[in-house]
Amino acid sequence: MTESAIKIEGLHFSYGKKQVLKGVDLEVPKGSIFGFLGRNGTGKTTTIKTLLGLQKPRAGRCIIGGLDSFTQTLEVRRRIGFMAEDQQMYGWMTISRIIKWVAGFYANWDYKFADELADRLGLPKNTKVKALSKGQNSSLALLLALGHRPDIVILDDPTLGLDPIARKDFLRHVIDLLQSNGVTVFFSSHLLYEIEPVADHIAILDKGVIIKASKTEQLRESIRKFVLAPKPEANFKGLAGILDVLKVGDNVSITVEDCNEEKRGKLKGMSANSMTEVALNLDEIFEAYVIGNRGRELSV
Amino acid sequence: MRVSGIIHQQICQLKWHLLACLGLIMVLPVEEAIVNLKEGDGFFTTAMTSLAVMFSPLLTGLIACANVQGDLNEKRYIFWRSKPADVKLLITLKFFTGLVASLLIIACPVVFAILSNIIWNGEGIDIFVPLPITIAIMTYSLCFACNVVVRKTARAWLIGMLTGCFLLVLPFMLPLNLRDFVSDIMFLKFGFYLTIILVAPAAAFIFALYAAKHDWHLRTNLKSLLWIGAGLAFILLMLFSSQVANIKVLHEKEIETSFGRNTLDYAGSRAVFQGYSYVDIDKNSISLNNISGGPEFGIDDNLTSRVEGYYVRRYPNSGRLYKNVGDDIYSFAIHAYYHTEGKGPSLKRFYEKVYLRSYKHTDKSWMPVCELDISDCLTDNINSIRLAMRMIDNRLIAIVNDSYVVVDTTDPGELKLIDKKKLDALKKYIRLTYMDRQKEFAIPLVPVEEIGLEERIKLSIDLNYWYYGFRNEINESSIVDVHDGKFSFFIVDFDDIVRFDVTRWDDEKVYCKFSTLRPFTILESVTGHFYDDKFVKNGKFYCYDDHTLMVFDVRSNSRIRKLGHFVRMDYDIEDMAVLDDGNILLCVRWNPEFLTRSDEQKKYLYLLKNPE
Repeated sequence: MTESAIKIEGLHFSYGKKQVLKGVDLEVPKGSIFGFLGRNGTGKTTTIKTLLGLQKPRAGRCIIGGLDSFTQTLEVRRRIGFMAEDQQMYGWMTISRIIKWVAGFYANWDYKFADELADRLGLPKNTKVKALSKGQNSSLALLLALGHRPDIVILDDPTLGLDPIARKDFLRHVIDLLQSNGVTVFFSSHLLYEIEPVADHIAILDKGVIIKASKTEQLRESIRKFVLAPKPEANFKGLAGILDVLKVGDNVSITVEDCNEEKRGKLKGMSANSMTEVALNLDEIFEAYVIGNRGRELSV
Repeated sequence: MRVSGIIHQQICQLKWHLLACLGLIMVLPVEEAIVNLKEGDGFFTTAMTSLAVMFSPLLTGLIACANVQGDLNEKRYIFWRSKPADVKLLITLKFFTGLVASLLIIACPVVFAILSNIIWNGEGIDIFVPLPITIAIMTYSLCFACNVVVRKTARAWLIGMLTGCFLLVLPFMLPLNLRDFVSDIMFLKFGFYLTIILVAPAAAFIFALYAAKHDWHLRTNLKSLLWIGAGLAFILLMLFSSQVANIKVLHEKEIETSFGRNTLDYAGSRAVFQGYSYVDIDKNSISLNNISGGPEFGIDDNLTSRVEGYYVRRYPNSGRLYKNVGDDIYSFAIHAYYHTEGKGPSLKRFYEKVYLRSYKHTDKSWMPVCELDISDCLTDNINSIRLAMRMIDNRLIAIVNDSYVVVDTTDPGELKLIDKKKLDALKKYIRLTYMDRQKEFAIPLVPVEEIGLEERIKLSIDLNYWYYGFRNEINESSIVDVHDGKFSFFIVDFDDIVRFDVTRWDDEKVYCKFSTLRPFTILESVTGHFYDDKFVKNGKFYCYDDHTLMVFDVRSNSRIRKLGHFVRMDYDIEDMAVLDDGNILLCVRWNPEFLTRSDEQKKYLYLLKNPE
């Protein structure tokens, strides 16, 4: 059994009467790059804040590196690196000053490594934080999250607000820096194409619950879209695992999860002529899970 | 967590705010010093330093808000909270760094004032700083805590100040019988007050720690901000009214307008208005009853000079000295006659005759019944004359320049001269200055053998202080209080009310020493300036100027405690009388600046509740 770097069990959280997390269960394997997907406002940041012990959940618990987030908060924060979405730092500090300031919180801060990172990320040390571009600001936040060489890194929508080039540049750095060191990366984003090339595990959060969690490759393999012209007597309702059904002219496009030979056979039997099978990218898979009609509007 | 790094960060974060506050707090003292320098007095500051220190609680509130505002922006909050920071230690460091910086800033004008005075005047000055500083610590802590929760500088500052004001006013709202901010708080209940002021910051600090740790966040909006503003204004008004006008008006009676100053005097235990009406009080209601259906306009009508070219000056200048004998009522006056030579600045008055007269009230008017010629009391008869008079039992002591006469008034219709003397002692008087607060001084004891020692001492002190005063009313009041056999007297200076105690006396002098003072608050300084009229009665010191009456409890040997304050800004207080039950009769004239005709003025008699 794979050891977990992060384990979330039955997490419930509310802002007043508004219930944001409705029982999140999640396990992040050690050494993985874990993509945490969800639309804006589905509870990604809330999950991460709760994970970091910044807010107390109504129910459930979070274990990071074997430590409880709420009872061993400081120890957890010593062992992880965190980068928030659109992170704001002290604008009046210079880069070297803020590195020194953040280093003060960690007994194991690696100054040499931080210097190397600064060089690699192209951060001018004597520049004030407020003078940095958005890309440089993200790089600095990354440096400050990694300077103490954490085992687990949590990135909450780190590329928010960056232009496409800066985003790619930033992700390249993240992969370079983290993948080779066996660090567990918990990467939250709503930009799927950003996660797709790097994440080896995926979880999709929707309306406060995890609706899918799996290895990225497994997910790609198990989700298929079939385009067919249905026979008049065809009845899709009996088919398990339908994520989305779309009628396009005389044809029907059906997205199915946990696709296997049995499901393929059933669908072929309902088709009046040939059937096309399409492999989906992560973006399409996400769309099928989050906004797919699950066959509810099926009137074929 | 590196403590020095946090402190350094905090100082850097606050530096511009600190400099701005330093500029604000120093601007008045420096400006005063520059003005002094321009006037050739030297580069030093005095009064403005106190004012600057008084405003320090507002500035420390701002520093407190700036102190954590930089860390509490939601995104920045996540940034540092996600680090392994011990929130309590971090907030503690920030709190105390800001607090120490605030106190250093408050210290700057004080140090500047002391040093500049040492350099230019040879000695430092006393600046009263403990209370403003403790209040500053309180406002700092409250604003700090508020900003941790509210996370918006202006709103947090307002809420903090509102809470601070509420805590400052709170003791006055509790059943603690607190009336006087200066006396009750500074001298009597300072420990209690200090406890509130110190417990509040401690509580606020602990609250801030928990609020930061648990990320408590109070979301405010413009509407709540307006409510806070209204609440602040309301509480400040409460404080203002409790400190400025807290003597209750029991009854107000408009009276017929007449020329001249209205007067209230005593005839036995009854008050007499304008010399023709008794003022009777029934169930807190004023009624005027003419004295035996007598003349409409008192005895003023009798004061015209009977010899052409001569003028008359009467004592008492306003009001009367009355005496009841059975059902009859008598009044006494000194009339000094003079003629003038020259005009304008070179005009000279030549006093030639002085009479002591008694009048009896008849059904129709005041009729002269007896006259004593005391013109031989005049020595230097040019220009000035000093008159005073007091009735002690049946003895009437009249002072004319450097002489006094003692007259038996057992039968006011037949005045009997008992004694008449010229005294060098009456030539001397002591004008009390600040220097007299430093050392013992002596007042000549008037050697009037016909009255008891206590009255002699009182008369001597009253004569010394009142003799040259314009409103010489020792005929009806005294500034001397006698309590448990100890004599003390009270004067009103520009900034304070001062108490002097009589320490001893011998055959020639009464020795006095400064005892204590009660400084005026800013509000009191705003509403009143020159308290020419002042007296002590039944252990209370009354003083009033045009718009303001203040009453102080002077029964304690150690402090002067204000009991009440009555202000009418568009009114002139013309005279007052204290009734036997302690209630106050006040004679006022409504005379706002916009009135152009005197017949538009209105006059009122107020019955005020006894301030206790």
